[in-house]
Amino acid sequence: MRLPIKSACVDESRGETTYGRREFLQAGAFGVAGAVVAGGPLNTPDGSAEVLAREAEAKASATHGGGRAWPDRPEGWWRHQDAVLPPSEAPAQELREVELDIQIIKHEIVPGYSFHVLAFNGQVPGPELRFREGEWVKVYFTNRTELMHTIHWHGVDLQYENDGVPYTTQHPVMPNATFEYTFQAIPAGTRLYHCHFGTPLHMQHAMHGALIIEPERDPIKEEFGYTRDYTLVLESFATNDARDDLNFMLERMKQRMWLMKEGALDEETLAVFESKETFLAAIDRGWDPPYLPNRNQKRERAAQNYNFFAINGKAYPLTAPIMIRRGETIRVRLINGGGLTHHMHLHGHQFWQVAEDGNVLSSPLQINTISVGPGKTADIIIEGYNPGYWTFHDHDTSRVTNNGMYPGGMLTMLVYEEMDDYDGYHPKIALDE
Amino acid sequence: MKERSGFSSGGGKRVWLAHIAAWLLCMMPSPTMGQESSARLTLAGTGMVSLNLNRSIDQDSEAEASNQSIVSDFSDSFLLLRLDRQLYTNHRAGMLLGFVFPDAETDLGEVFYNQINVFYDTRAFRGTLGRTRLENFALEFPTLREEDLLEYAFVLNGFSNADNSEFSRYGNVARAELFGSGGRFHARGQASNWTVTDVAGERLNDFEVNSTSGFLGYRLPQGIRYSGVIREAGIGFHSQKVDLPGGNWLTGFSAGLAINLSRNPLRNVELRGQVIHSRGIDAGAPVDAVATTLGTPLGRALSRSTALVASLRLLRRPYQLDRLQVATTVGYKTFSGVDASRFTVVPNVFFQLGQGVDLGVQYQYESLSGSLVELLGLRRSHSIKFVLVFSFQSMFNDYFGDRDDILNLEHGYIS
Repeated sequence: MRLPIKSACVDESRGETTYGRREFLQAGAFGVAGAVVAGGPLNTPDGSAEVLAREAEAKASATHGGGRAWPDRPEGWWRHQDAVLPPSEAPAQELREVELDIQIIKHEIVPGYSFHVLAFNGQVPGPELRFREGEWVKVYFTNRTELMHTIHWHGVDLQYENDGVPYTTQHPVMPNATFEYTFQAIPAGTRLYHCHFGTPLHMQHAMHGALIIEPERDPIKEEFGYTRDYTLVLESFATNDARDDLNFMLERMKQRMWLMKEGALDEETLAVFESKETFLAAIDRGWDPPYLPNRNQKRERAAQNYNFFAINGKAYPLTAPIMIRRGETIRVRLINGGGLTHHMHLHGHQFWQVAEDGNVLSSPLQINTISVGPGKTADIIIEGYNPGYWTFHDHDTSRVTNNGMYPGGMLTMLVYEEMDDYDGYHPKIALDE
Repeated sequence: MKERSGFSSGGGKRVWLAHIAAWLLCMMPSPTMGQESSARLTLAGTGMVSLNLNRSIDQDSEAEASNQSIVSDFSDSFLLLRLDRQLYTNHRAGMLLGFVFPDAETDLGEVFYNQINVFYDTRAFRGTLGRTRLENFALEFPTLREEDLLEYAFVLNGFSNADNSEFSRYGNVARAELFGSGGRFHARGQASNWTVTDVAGERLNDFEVNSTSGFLGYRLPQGIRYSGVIREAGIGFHSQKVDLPGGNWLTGFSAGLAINLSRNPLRNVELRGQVIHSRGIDAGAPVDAVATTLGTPLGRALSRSTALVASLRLLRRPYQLDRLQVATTVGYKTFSGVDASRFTVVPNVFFQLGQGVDLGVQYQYESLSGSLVELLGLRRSHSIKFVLVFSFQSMFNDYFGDRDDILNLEHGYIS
């Protein structure tokens, strides 16, 4: 069987709707500009000029009918809640309880190459957590390593003592200890969780995971009617630096644990002070802070030497493909758990960016390459209008490598399920170009 | 000095080192094959210059005739280069190339190449071939230079009459080591060639295997060195095939134990002790006079003796960084069958000015008794050494872990 590709397929699955969307975007942009210029500086109790412009844009898009506007949303939908509820307000009977732990494991990113990582529940990335918007959640986090950790709920509006920033909102979670995080899952969107202790090492190797908060009414679902929902956690690893750092930190931490047990761990050894005054007093006493060159043990490098890149813990060719059927619409949530910006490019398709940092965009944006910076998330909608095998990869192709060998790393494929029956060219596994 | 034969005494003598090296070369791919992956490179070195104030008192106790000298001493400074890489099998192999600056009085020249070897490493095995340390002791002790305790802390070279420490510390070895528990336990066996000299101490071109040794040891890996009470322990034997009328084999035994008296990583207190017993050769046999007198390095090496060394070391490590070391090492050696013994005490203090830069002072007192006084022309000696030490170790292209990394020890070994 030969599948029609290219133009015939475009006719079938894109049709006028897609074309109209482009028209809408042009018209909408002019409309927004017009509103801002005509109205001059806007000042309302509800928000800034930017917010109003977003509203005007939404209205304009509805007026211009050729594209898709978001479904009607309640008045003031963009406003944040006046106050975030403290955990004491959590209804005990309706708490959703989750157990997470952290372990050091050997992780095989591609066959033949393993390295040690910090893994939530022994997985890379950590398990995907999905909550309903507004749901109360209690997470029991157990530290099964000899290092200190926390969990930061990135992009969640919660009471600050559950935000997971060591020495700022809580003491770090000590080895063999369990910490309970309680928060209400708001706002909806694609978010992430990660360790906030020793973040350059812990978060990037690989203490991160997807946190999806599902709204009761999802404007993206309503508008695009997607049938499958994929999560792609983008990861960059500096495995040699991480090995060095982990060994160093484990050695140091073992000693600190002994001191702690003996009640002999002081603030100067820990380099944690009660206040700026006590820190400055220590400096006056001759204490050398750890950032000084004379104490800068094992920290000669200014930047990490990244050598492996992954999607959901695996590098090409072990990355899982994104499956789609002709005529199907799918949602892909991109979450950057690493320390580099990734420019994800999809071949053969224009996709819609519909959300950034978990928050729905004022209007969808049609692009084929999307940049996702560290800690950022982006939601895209892919329409199945062009059957084939389509690579989806970081267009900084130095990250499409395994230990410097191209291709590899942050590379996956959009695969049409119909292609099994196609007698044309099928992808091979290439490892050395 | 009698010419000594190697293990292959019959027929033509094999130059074993050359044979094995040639075999290894045949097994290795040509360096021109394919694109070369970079080796991991470790560069290490120590520059150590001391100002030594020496005072020795000869045997005439009534007159207390003494000699005094002030010398600057950069001996034991060294530079070391290690290159290793991962193999197709995920084992590792590498080479070590290093030299040390010997004592000026040794006639060894400006530098002595103490490390020229290749090694093959797996999780549980290490093979070493070439010149390196003889490992003829159970423990190391906290003195400024190893030679400070040469007569007490090492099995001495029964083939050399040279007045240097290098010939008793380094030699050509074929060594196999087995490791268990991530390097905590190890068993070592080696065949080696200890440097052979003539009576005048001139090195002879004799590279045949002339000794064997075996050792069983326990050691806390460096990364967890304060995590247990027993830090190091080991027992071993060292046999030198001297082929003298008094005996074919000169065999010594070593045993040592190091314990953390305090496991406090900020104020570590460590005690270590070692005993070395040399069975000697039969001094009553009609052997070369040199071999029977304690007045020569060879004579002392061939004599039946027992040496004890103990040290107490206090290490102050504010913020988990080494800052101050105060140590005292005591050594005692007695020779059997004759009235001869020696005793030394070596206290020292080192203050770390910055990472790898130590300012220190060491005092050493040594007292000889019995026939040693007359034979060596020395009753007591004092020395004070003021020293500045600069040491470093840098690793480049670090792309694999080591056997005793904490990650490999405790979280699964990655080959």
